[in-house]
Amino acid sequence: MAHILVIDDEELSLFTMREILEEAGHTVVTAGDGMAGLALQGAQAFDLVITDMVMPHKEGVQLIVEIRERDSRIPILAISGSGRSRNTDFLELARQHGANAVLTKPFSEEDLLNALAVCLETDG
Amino acid sequence: MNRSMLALAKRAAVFLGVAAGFLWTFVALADDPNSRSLIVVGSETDYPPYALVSKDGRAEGFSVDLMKAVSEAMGIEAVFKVGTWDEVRAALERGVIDALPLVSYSKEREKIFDFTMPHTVADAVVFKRRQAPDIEAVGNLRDQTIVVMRSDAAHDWLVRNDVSGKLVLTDTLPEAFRLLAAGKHDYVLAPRLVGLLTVRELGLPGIETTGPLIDAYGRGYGFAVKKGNTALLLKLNEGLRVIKETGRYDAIYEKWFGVVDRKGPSSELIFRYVLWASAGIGVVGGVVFVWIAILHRIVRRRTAELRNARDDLESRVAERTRELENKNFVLDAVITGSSNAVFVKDRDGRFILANRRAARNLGLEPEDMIGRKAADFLPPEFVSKMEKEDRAIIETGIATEGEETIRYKIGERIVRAFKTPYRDSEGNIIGIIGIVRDITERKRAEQDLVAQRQLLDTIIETIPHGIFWKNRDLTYAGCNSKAARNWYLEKREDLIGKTAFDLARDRVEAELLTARDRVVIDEGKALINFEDNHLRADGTVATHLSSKLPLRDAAGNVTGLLCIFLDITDRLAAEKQLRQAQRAKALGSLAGGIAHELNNLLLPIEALSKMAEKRAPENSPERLRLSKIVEASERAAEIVHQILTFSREDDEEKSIVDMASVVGEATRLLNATLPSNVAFRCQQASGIGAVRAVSSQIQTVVVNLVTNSAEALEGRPGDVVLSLDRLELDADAVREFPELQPGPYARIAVRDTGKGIPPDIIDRVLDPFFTTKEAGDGIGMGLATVHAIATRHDGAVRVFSKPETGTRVDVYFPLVSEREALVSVSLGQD
Repeated sequence: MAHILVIDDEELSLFTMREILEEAGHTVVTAGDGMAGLALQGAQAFDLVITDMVMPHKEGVQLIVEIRERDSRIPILAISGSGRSRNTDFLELARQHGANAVLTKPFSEEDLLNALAVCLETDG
Repeated sequence: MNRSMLALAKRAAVFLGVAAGFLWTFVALADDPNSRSLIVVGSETDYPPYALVSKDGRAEGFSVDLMKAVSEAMGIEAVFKVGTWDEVRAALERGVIDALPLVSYSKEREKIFDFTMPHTVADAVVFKRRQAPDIEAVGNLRDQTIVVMRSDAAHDWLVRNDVSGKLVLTDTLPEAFRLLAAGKHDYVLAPRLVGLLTVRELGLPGIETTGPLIDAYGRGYGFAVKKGNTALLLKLNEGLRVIKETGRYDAIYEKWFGVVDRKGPSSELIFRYVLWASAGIGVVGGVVFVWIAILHRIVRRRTAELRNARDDLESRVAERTRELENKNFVLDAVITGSSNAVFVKDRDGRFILANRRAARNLGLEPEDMIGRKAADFLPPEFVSKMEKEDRAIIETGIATEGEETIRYKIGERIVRAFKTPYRDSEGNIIGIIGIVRDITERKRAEQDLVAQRQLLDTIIETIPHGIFWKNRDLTYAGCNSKAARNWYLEKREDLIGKTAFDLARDRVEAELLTARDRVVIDEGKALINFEDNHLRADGTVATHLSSKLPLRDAAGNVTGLLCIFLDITDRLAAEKQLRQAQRAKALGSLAGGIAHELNNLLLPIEALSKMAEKRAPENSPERLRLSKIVEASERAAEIVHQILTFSREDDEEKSIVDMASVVGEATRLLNATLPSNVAFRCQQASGIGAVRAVSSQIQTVVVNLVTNSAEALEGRPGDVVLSLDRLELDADAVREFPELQPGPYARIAVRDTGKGIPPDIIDRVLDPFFTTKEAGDGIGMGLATVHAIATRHDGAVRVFSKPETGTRVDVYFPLVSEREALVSVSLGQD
């Protein structure tokens, strides 16, 4: 079972992911923005970080860069609502900056658990 | 005797007639202008008392007085010049003087002079000492010593007649008389009167004349005129006769010779020669006398008549002279003051007259031109041309008028030259009269005017606007070609004089067109930038942006109207396209934002409802309900996906793709899915080319278009035809596609035989979420997405539709150059 940090500014999204992940037997810590997420990541040892890309205070891309600076090995799963807008492909950017997998909202239980498996296998 | 007298009288009468005829001729000659009423008389300086000079230099003497008296009697004014014999004689020959008062006759002199009758017969006489014996005849002197002046006529006479072998010669008369007075000799032969005067002047005593008068001096002295001056000769002869008759002659004789010859025999002698001349004729002499008397009267009468005639003539001449002078003055003033250059040239081209203006053109004074030729002042190429013209005028006698440009010293001038032959009084062409008007200013003004008119015309023709102007009665007064074409007229002139009622299709249209004209004319109001519609010949409607303005005269009265208009149909269409594109973009941006938010919300709905559905008991109402939530959230997710596809701007990497194969793939997919009522066909031209595109998006376009068309059939059988072709859009064609650049394009056109799109909504079919389908049938993103994709590929979409006939949608994608396509293919192979 994995200890997972989930960062998203959308409360409903956080709740949904916690439901899916805890059903699957994982432990979940959530953060409502990038700043809080980064603080938690520094304070605890997580097996995986799931982060939204479009958030207040700290954009997902910036958060990924800073996590990677601190820990080059921790698996990161990037998720995004529209994924792409205004010529900016956030998920592509996330990949480039160190995300191990990406996932577009809305996704199903299976989608998330599959992506989780991919991330943890890479790590393994 | 009687008979012979009668015959003689008859002859005399005939002779008189002839003579009178001659006389008429002579008198007529007297009227000749050469016979002046003023004559110049040359008198000798030292031949006293006949001719001498007073102390104050005036001519005096017997002959001078006679000439004065004769002149006075004949109404001639005589002025006297004095000189030696040689001088005055030469002056007469040259014609400087007209008459000499004292010339003795000789054969030699008659060759150069004509003589009047002698007025003085200078007889010689023998002078003796009182103590010496008288002589009866010259023959008595045979053995006597005779003193005589050397070379004097008396000397000649003595030698010729062999009077005496004893002659004593002196150089002067006084010397001869002094010898006599001194008692050295007894006799002197000398001119009688001169001798007497000399003796008196010298105060020599005891000298007297003796014996007969001797004709030693021939015919004596007369007046002489130049040979051939018969008129003056006749006048002088007549005058001599007059003064003899009036006693004037005797008075003069008395004055000069009275002291020595109180009796004055010369009054008898004066006609002696005439009497001698007539003595031989006898009775005829009498006739001649009568004839002379008659002639005399005729001459006097005639003279009076002539004098009157002369006076009359003189006053007429004076009057004519005044008239001519007046005319000349006026003519001179006209020529001098003329603003035209006026000149006269002789046949050789030399100027014989030129006014100030003519000279000024050449930078000269008029007198500088006289005697010179144009070649002296003007450029040779012009002169040779001008001389040719002048020759033609002289040869043909035809005046010419024409314009030419001349390079004068004062600069290049344009002139209008009128040249006409100059003829003498007999009509012979003796030169050329020229009048040259400087029309440079007028010409330049005309040229300026033409240039201005052309400029104005160019402007009117060049501006993109149609322009026309109308009279108050709304007839067209003028227009440019664009305005004429607006009425399908080839020539601008075709519009002039017509009204809208002549041109419009119907009265209603004409009324519509002229309604505003009336406002402009009647109220003097300018209507600026209003839009109105014009029905074109092809039935389409053109939109004009027009302004109509009153035209006013100087007093401000409205005389008509000016209209300029611009066909803004294309611009409006382009603006519409642009607005549509902008609206689509804005909507896309909005839709993208909404989609993002919706996806966030759909995550819990879809994921949690699926989890709940899975865990709900099988066949329970909860599971069914949850399955419906899942279905709805999936549909919602699909809509959001479509919206995102539409709003996505550059979501995927474009590559060079072959248009035909991409479209081909899409149609294969469609063939499997289209319902059976749809007869789907593909018409694909070969060699379309490649586009830089996201191939899945091209496929989306094809799928959306065909799906829309299939749905437009509404289940009824019908055709859906997809065609793919290639076309070049040049700069002109692109005007209808403001969003496109000129170049090669691939065109995907899909048409159907469906219900068509109502005109009132055709403008909105490209808008996102616009749909004609029943709620639930579609979300209205099909064409909006096609439009978004086309725009993203620098392409364009056009929709054509006729209700109940069908719809056609054309989508344009720019083709890449063959080179670009080749390079891309080779790179792809690497």
